[in-house]
Amino acid sequence: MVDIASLIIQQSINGIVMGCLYVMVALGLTLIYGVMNQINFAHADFVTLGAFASYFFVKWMGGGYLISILVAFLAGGVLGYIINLTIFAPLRDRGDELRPLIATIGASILLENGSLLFFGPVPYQYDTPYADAIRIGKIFFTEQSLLVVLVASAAIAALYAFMKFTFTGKALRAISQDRETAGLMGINQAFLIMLTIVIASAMAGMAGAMLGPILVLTPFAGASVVVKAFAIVIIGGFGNMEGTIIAGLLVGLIEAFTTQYLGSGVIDLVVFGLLLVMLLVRPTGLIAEKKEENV
Amino acid sequence: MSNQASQKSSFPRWVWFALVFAAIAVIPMLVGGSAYWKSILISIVLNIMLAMSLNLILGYTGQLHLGHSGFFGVGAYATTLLIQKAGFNFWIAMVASSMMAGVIGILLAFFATRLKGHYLAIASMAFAVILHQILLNWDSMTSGPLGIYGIAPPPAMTIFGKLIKFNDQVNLFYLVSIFAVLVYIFLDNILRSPIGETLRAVREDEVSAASLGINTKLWKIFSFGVGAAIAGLAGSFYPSFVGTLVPDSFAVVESFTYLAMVIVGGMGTMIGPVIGAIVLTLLPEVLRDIGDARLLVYGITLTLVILFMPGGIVQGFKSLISKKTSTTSSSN
Amino acid sequence: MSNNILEVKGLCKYFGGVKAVDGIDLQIPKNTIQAIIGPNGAGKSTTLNLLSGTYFPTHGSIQFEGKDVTSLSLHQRVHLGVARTFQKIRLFKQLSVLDNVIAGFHIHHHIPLWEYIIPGKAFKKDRLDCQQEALDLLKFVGLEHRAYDRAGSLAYGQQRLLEIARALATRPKLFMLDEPAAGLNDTEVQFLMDRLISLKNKGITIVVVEHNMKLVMNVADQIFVMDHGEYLFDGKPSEIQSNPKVIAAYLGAEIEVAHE
Repeated sequence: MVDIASLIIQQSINGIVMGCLYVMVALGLTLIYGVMNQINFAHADFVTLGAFASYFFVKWMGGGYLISILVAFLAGGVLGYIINLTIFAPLRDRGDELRPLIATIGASILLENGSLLFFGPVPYQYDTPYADAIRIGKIFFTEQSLLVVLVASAAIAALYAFMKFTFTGKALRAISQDRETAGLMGINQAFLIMLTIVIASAMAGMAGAMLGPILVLTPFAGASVVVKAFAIVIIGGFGNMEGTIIAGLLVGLIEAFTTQYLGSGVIDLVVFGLLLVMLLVRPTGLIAEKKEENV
Repeated sequence: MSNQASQKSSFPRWVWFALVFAAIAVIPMLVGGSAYWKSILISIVLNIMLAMSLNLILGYTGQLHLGHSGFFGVGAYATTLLIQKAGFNFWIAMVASSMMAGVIGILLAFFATRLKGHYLAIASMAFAVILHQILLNWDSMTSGPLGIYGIAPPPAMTIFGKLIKFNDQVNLFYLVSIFAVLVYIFLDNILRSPIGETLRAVREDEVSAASLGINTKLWKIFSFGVGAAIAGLAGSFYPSFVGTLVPDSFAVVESFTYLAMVIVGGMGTMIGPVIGAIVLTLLPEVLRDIGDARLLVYGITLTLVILFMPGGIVQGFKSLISKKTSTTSSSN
Repeated sequence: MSNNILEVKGLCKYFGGVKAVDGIDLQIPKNTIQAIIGPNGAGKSTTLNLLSGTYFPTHGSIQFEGKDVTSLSLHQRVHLGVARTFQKIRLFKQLSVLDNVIAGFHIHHHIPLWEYIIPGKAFKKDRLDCQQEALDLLKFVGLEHRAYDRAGSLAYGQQRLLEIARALATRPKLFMLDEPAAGLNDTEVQFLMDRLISLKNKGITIVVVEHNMKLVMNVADQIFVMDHGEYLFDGKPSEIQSNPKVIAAYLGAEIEVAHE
């Protein structure tokens, strides 16, 4: 009986660790959507490039792993700034959902295959200095997992506080609720939107740095995470921070337990099956806000 | 698209088709004996069919559909399995798997009727991922990632007393081309009819369309069903063309390639996807020196086109013509 | 048999806690022009949405020509002969003016199925008939000279008229308009009034939600006044003008009517 309990705790820990990473990636997506009603398909690639940034910082510049996480954070932010400059800002205000979406798809393909050209298809071996395991009874986890949970929680908490308590954060929430009115109240939208994307991408980059050792590091590493991140954003509700956090942890847990009992090949099927069910039953997400179309 | 009957009066349609038939007949001779280039030709034709069918859903009906690879895969696997495991004749398998793909398209359409924009985009991607995963994991049927080997081409036919074998790439090219042309004519006629007006209305404004008596749910289902069926039809020719069938040919990323073809060529026009498919299939081959740069080329062209010339090559062409004829008002 | 084309009983629409429409009874006789007026937020547009099937009621029933249509959606009611225009202009702006109107013939095509794939005689006849009837409708609203222009290139007032022409293509028996005079200048309102009366003379029943009192007073046979989602008063234009409840609802503002 003790075994089952420790098994459950073990998988829960695994689930929460992955969940934290998913949340970091998904939060960025949901923020971007909330503020500008756009989906950034290239978000995945910020994760990947964050991972590569931190990898090369450690390998070539001999920097510490912890600092490399910061490097990835910055790299992600810069990338986000560029994407906003080239794609989102020019195409804004045209009321067209399709064009920016497709542009980000194009950007994503570009980034992935450009990276493929640069880095090659062979996976990079990314060793973290925190690979030591910690055992408590039958349960074990690596220092890396602990690091992930700590950093992620700190980042998520910081972001949450920022959104809820600072003026800028409130302004961002105002924009996501009603852009026109927010504009009338003298809020500098362009700057704030840029800020949102930078923060979102920075978080994605940081997630990449921490994912690097866990995932196989190829130019397509982020792609495996991002479609799940989309699923999480939908399940949690587009633009809804609390929902995304809950959904992210949930998906992480579901994955952990699915791997345990059904094998890893079926994970994607389960997660996306769940997504489709959600979309049918409750497309606005777990914590829904209904908006009736104004005719 | 204003009254097409009055617009394209430069050449009657049958002249265009005569030219196309002539081109199809002649092209294989241009590539000489190169087996490589013959297979490129067949790829182009299949991509044309995929792009046209995606365009029906995306360009004409305005549904954000990113899962077209799934329908292609259903067609390919269904055909192969029906032939190999159920002993079906190729032609019957082709029809059956096309219909199966159509049914799956209708299933996806049920999501489309409830979801809009981004939600639909993600749902369609999830759909494609699930289909891909099923192909990967259903070992007993599909042999999973190892794939199915040694697939035979369509059975030889006797036409006008001549035996035509389809392991000859040129004959296969002609066969697929005929289907592609038939599909083009089918779609073109439908889209010039009131059905085309209905789909465009659904695309432009659903509430407005409903106020004209249009059952938008029904027409979305129609659009997805027909689009999927055509993709499935293209899929039936794919296995015999490649000889070995693996699930990874139908990964979600392939949906983006068809998307790129539609957009780069010109979304919402009939000829756009055709041009897009031809250009984007040929371009990476011409630039072969960069290695496996196919997707990179797609990414670059897609991004550039959507940012600077969203109507694609067709738009570019039209503005070039209107500049030359320098008319003061160009009605689009 | 009732002479009412529309009979509404106990119509309610609640959005969460908000009672946008609360207990409306309405009878609309055939071949008349009925106006629904009231201050902002009275629930007029919501009522129109309910009557047309754009919204489904929380409670209540709607009978069209004696048939219960409460659970029918907008597109289904169009088949029965109900048409509507919208407060916000919803034209197919990328299509031509003519194509917008032709789109309205959706429910009236007589083409055998196979001719959609291989066009034949019936197809060509249908196309010509649609084109002709569309041009006639454009003539009715004075837009036939712009038939081949992009709908988005029309002036605001013309776009409103195009919407009317397009809705008329469905050949409705009951035509509902949501603030058709909004944003129109006096000449345009005059033309609109003229067209509405002309439609009534052709046998169409009209329901208008409007703020423009000149139009309402001069065109309506019967006026239904709403306030806060409820019925306030109804009667002929002359009765409305002097009714104290109505005047109070409009915050004591004088309702100036220019009589011809």
